[in-house]
Amino acid sequence: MIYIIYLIVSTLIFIFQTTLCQYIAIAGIIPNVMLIFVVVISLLKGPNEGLIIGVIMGLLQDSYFCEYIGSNLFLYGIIGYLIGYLTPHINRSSIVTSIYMTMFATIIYNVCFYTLNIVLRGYTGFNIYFFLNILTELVYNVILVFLVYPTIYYINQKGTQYLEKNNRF
Amino acid sequence: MQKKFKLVLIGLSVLSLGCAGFSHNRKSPTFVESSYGYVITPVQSANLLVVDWFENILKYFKGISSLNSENKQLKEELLEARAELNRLKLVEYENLQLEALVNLQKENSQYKTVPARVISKDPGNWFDSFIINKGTDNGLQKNMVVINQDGLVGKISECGYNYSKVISIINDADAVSAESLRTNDIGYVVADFLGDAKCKMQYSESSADLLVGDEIVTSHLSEIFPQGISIGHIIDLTVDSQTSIQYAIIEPSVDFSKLEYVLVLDTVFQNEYIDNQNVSEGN
Repeated sequence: MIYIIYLIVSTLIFIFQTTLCQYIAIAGIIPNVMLIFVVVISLLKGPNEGLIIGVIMGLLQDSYFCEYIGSNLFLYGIIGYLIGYLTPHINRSSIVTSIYMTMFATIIYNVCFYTLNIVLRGYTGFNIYFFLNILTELVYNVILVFLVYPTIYYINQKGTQYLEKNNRF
Repeated sequence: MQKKFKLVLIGLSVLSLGCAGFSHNRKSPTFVESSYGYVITPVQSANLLVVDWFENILKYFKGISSLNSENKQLKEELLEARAELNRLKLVEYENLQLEALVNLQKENSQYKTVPARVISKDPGNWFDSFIINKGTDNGLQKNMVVINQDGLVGKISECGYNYSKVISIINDADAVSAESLRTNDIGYVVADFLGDAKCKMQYSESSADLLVGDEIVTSHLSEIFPQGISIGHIIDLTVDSQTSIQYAIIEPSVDFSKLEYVLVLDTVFQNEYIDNQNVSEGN
């Protein structure tokens, strides 16, 4: 049951990211709401849920936009697991943690994606645009965390209360 | 805990490598992908309706304030345009004669085209692939050529029932065989991920004679693209600092950031090419 909800919510966020998000691009760079969602879920619900959401997101992006399935599946999955895994002793419900973790995830994701998909194909150029691209997305993602994090935190709390009251799980 | 992390890392690696191997050189999307795409394509199209609605409202309110001044301006422009039109009719007649000589534009108009709308774009910032709202239900197939009014956009890489995945020419995976319209020098156009122009052409430097401003079109050597579709024009000639290969930096004719409507040429040129070869061998 809860996994079907995860699947539906992930699909909705994927659709939002690929359609409406394209219209709020600044200088051709769009924020990555999918990555922010994976990070926030992993912080709020723990590494296992982060892994599941990450794998769903990666599979969706790979099968509809990439040539080979695999690179995003791996990256989103490992980021979702790592964020929850690395922060057992930190106050996860603080928004500051989610900002730092989003920055960490954005850098890891972009560097690894570039390495896996472009450098390994034989294109070895690095110049200022590489860092500018990542920096712009970083700033944009951090701004969006302030919107995404409170929303999911609120929904998560309400959902947990509802489930506890009804004792369904 | 550490053991579990290793387990997850290894599991994910094996899973993604397995998927990559499985999806290598596949012809069409799997049943699961295709049916999932069938469900989410209408939602994506519905999102576009929302965007259109907002744009219309914005246009309406922007319009009211500027209507009067615009009216005056338009009347003046109309006079100028009429004068221009007379001049252009003369030019058009001349152009028709020249076109018959070049015979490029006419070759393109003989193909049947299917108009389609871009419904969603790549979520990342590195690639420019997108999804259009027509699929096998409109007779589209893999490797069909996608253009718009300005020039070459790319080719279809996968077809679902009501959606198709298009890989644009500014993706690295897709090297396009190209030639210069002025000198017929052959080269190939690849993506330039870390540049403003996003496209560059590699050519044989010993024989080629390229200049800034030359128009680049698809060549007769290409197996997928028909000859003579505009790709872009040269804005710079450079040497790669690491590999010391000469490149011509190309500004694409198509504005990929504002792509909304595209045309799909309803012919698979790859088959045509192979058929012609068989015929000539048979003779």
